[in-house]
Amino acid sequence: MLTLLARSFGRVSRMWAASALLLVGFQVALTSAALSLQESGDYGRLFDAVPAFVRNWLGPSLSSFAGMTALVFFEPLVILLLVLFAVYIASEPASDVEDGLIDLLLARPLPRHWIVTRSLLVMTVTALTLVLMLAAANMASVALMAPDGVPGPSGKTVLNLAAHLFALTWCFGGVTLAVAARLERRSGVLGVLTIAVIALFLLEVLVEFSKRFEPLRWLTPFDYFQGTQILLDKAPVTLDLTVLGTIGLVGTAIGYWQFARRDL
Amino acid sequence: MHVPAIALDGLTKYYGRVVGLERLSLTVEPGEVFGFLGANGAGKTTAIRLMMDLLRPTAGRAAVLGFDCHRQALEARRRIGYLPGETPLYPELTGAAYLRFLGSIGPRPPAPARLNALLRRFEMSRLDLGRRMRDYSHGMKRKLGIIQALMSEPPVLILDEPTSGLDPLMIDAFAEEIAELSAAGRATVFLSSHVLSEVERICSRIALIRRGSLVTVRTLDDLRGTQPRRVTILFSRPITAAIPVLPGVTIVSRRDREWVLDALGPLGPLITALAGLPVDDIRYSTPTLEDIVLRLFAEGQPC
Repeated sequence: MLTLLARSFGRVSRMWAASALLLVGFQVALTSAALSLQESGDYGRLFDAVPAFVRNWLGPSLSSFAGMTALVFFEPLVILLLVLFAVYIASEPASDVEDGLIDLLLARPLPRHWIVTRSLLVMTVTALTLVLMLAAANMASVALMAPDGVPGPSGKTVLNLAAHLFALTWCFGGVTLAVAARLERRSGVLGVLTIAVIALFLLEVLVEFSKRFEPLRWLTPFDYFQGTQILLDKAPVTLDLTVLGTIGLVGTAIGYWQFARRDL
Repeated sequence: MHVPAIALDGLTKYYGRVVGLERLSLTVEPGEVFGFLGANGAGKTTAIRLMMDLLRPTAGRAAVLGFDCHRQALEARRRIGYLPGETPLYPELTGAAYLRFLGSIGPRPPAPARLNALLRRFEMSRLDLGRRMRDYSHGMKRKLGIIQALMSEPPVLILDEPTSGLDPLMIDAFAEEIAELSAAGRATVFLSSHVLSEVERICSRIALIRRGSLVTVRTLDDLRGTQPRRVTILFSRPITAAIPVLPGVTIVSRRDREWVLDALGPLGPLITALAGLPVDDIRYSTPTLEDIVLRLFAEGQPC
């Protein structure tokens, strides 16, 4: 199993490093912007300048240094980058079938479920390390750049945001495993999941901006990560993490079941 | 208790309504080099992938050295060296890293002496092994595929069209390797092919499969024995006499100075019957495997 894991980690190491650099760079840029706003005293004007729906959406992250530096965890670009990264990694079983590598791997005395376990572990570890790296970049940049007497986000807030971001990422990774264990082409898996991710994200945006879509709120996993509510310490953390974790677990279980019984 | 190296019992696979394989039953004895012949799409790869537990049978079972290929898949695969029809590869790996990786996931790491012997036989230099696989030609990939299947010295080799893409020298090297393994009793070889000349050279027994069904399983000698030889008799002057009616002899064509006959069994009675006729020359040809196989496929009679 370790050899399999090492091979898979080796194949995604460059993509992982590039994503980590992007995330750290994004955090440093955001902390710099927060510092600039803090020094010019412009938070009040920024908060007043944005439209009401953006104010409702991003709330405290537009009104303080601590809020803005924490924005990185629920900024749509960052969320989509991490989710699509997990989707790509978790689509590995379909890629193995498509490339014929599954013939080579399962010609050896390896249990079938190792293929799914390997991809699950690689997806989990790479996503977790990216989120942890983001949290470390957040804390380090705040510690190094925050003006005297201006607090950054609390440790608990950073931990909650990071846990939600990871849970959301892992949830989509688990769902991807279910699809990747069924399809024979990675491009098919990526196509299905990318469309699903974007559609669910749009649904979340619609839910936030229009009451008409409120009844559909429960459908989108993005709704279980309310960054502003976490900043205000009002988020149902346990419920959110449970729902996201359960979706991921169900997806993973379906993935194992599908892969065990299918023709390869 | 006698345990065949490979035993297929009523092995059947449907892809929806399409027949991939239907009630395939055969056994391969330890030490045999067994050829599995059929046209493209006949079901050869389906049978092999069922043996490797990559496909799940609709009915029937396959066993390798007594281990059920599905229910005891790990035990069965521990004893198999497998070459897929297309050599899958990790393009970013060098040839050496590829072999190292495959050796490390089982069934056992190859002995250095064995690996070196295979590399020498298939003319894979250190330079070749140091190159990334994305830069390999089709033949190089195939050679590496063969080496990975053989390097752990498994008792059963299942090879899907092993020589496709190899040059004649490498086909020779492959045939020598298989002949040595067989002679030493170190491996049972089950190989699929549609290149009949290679099968004729390498295999001791063959199965013919057509549209998913078994046509026949015979040794090459048996197969040849069941097919008539083509005998051409040339005369020094025009002949009007009737062609003697003999058991096993059929007339293909007749001209003034030439009879063409198909003769099954000993030629003695025919030669005796020709006594007294002005025979100038007798030529005969044994049917090639290709002739036999084409005839059997044309007849299409399952055994």
